[in-house]
Amino acid sequence: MVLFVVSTLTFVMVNLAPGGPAIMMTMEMTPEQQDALRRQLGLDQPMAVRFVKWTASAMRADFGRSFSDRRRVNEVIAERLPNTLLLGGTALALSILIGVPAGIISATRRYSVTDHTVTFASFIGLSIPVFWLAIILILVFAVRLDWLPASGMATIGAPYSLTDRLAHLMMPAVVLATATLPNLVRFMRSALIEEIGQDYVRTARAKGLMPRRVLSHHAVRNALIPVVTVLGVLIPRLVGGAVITETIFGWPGMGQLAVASATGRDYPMVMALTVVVAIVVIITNLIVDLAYSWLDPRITYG
Amino acid sequence: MRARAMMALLLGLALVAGFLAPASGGPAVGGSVVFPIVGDPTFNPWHPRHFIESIPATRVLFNGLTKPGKDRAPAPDLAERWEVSSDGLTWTFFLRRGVKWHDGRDFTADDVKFTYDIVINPRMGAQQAGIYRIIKEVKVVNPTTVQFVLEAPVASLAVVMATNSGIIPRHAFAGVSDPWTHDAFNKRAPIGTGAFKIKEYVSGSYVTLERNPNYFGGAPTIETITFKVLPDANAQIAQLLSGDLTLAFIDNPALVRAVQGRPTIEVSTVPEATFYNVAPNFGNKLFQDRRVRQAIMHAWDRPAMIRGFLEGFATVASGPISPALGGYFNPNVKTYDFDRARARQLLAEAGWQPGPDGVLVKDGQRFRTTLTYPTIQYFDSLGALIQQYLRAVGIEVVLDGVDFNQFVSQRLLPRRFDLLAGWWRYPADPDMYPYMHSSNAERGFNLPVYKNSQVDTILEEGRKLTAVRDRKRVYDKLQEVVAEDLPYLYLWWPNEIRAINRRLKGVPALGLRDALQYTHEWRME
Repeated sequence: MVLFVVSTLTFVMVNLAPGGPAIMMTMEMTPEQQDALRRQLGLDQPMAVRFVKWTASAMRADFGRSFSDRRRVNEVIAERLPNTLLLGGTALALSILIGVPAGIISATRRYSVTDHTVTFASFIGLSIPVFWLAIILILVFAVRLDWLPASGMATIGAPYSLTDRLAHLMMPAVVLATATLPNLVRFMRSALIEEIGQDYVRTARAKGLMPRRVLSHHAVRNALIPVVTVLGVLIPRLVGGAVITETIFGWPGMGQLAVASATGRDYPMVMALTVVVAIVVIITNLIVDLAYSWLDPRITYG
Repeated sequence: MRARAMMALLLGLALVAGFLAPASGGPAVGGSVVFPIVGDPTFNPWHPRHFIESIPATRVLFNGLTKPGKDRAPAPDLAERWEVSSDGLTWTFFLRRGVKWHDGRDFTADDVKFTYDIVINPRMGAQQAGIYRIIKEVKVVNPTTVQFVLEAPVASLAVVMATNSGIIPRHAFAGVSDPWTHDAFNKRAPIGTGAFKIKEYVSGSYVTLERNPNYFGGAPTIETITFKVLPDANAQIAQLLSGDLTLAFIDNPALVRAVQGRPTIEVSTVPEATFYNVAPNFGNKLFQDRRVRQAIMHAWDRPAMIRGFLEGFATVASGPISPALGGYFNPNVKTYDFDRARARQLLAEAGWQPGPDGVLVKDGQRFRTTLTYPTIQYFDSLGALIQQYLRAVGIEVVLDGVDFNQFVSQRLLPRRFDLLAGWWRYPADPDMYPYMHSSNAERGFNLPVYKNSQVDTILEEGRKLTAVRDRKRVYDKLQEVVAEDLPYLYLWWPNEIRAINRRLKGVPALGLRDALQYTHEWRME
């Protein structure tokens, strides 16, 4: 149901956007060429007919051919999605592994030097423009020091190796994590501070539990609920692709594809990307809900 | 003692080096070149999606019948020579013998016919079909001779064929009904005749080509050429500096300073066969008066704009034909200095008098017009600046910046604009027929909808003449007329900015796309 609504809305919106597929919109285009291409792409048919056809083949998980290079959309997405998952997943892992502990430390040592440092650092991270940070990292680590490769996913022509992949992954993942990490830190910190002030924490302490155990078994567990909610919002964003990061580091992911398809009015590609992201949103929401009930057994569904 | 050890070492090195050098004494094979492209390429020069990201690779993989000569005249490529019938309607190309496709099959006239039959088929909508629709028929005379029969004479045919007109192999498309969805060729394993053949393609990342030792123009010495997908201009600069890229063009002149003066990189400029312009819509009464068009040419300070937007990497244009065309360029035409007094005077002669708020008025009508431009490159700032320049002489301009897609579909094609800022890039030939002849006014590239019988006659004559001297006379005249009459309001001729690592030698002094048709002469030191 959700998928149907999303795809209908998207279909109508992309088709109503002014202009047309980029292959028909060059300055050297003649009206005869335009007519020929319009027929080839099936754009000579009314929108309703095209939508019915699209829905019918999308049901069979066939998203047709791209309006730009005419490749099968499924093939292109199958190439790009794993790359984005790798980059997004690494950035997410970095954010969680650093963000959650940093938030906890910050909350438990409120107003200490550590807390101020973490808060300050996360504000810096939040305010640095991604494109600037990316270029600076390239200039320092690729141009000046020559430690890391400046772009791409692998050394050109070299056989696959894990170290090579990690070296290429390092800078884009850090840049991407810089954008998500501060959010997590802030949420973790404020949620935990709130939990620490709750009655049940005081009770737990009063009955003589070790402070560390109070924190890990009670307070943090409850404070994770808003953090998981934030993750539920962040994950689809990462899967949709980090446009700027991908563009600067030449990372062949979904973000680059999405922008090119939208500006090029590549309707089938835009539609397929929308459906993929919508599916991810649905799955993430499911996982988030499951995580809620695991974190707080009082929450049940059904 | 130490000196002797040194001597022995040197001797040893010399010996080793002697063994390593090829027996023939020719240049050693080796080195790899890396060139940035802005997106995933499509390896078919006629594919509707053959855009800027694809051009570099297909220039290397394929050969046309002709190629851009180093002397700016079309040079033989797959055709050894060609003849034009006296009426200019039949072109006969004599093909090079013994040329092999990358898969070892023979190249023949059938491949040429196959290629151009796709191009002139109106149902295909092939790239450049608009330029080639003048071809009526392609005939195979024998396996090494092919004839093109034209609807009307086009003397520039050999020049047009020199760029982005690669011949594709008939056998690779056997049994394929739609050449545009033949992914095995277009997106994975293209087969050409060029100096390099496909080695590895990683979608979204890079494509590597390896040397074709059987190349008919001579075996290349570079081992591989890699086209790396790198859409961001800043990242390209960083990688030029780090040595990850061997060469690139710099689209944004503001970035030139970052590479200028670096010991490893040589920056050079090459004039382009392109003119930036503002097209006045002749369907609008405002611009039908030549004095008004001349007044606008005096109203703007083009040298200042070139300094501001292009860091000086362009030349003020006196007409459509740029100095890139060498002998065909005529410098002795009417030019327009930045002179507001002259602009006001011309407008006054045309009957426009300043109104109470400074905006010109004629017969109760205010001089108010719209400037349309695409929101790419520096056009936003350019639009704002032109608005100010024109306001200073009493013309009120409303800005209409639209994204490129809409620019083409909603403004350019239906001719729905007053003033349209844009550019034309044309083959290295003075034939301006597509851009100025009245037959192209409503449906072709004649954006201003300009109709001038004198210009029509000149353009028709130029297409019939084949001798360079005769053509020069005709096109000298054309340049005089269009400098005076202004079908377009000329802005500038841009220079292509090339940044090349100094280790790479043998790149001819052409635009980089054209230089890619000479990769067999490139070498790394």
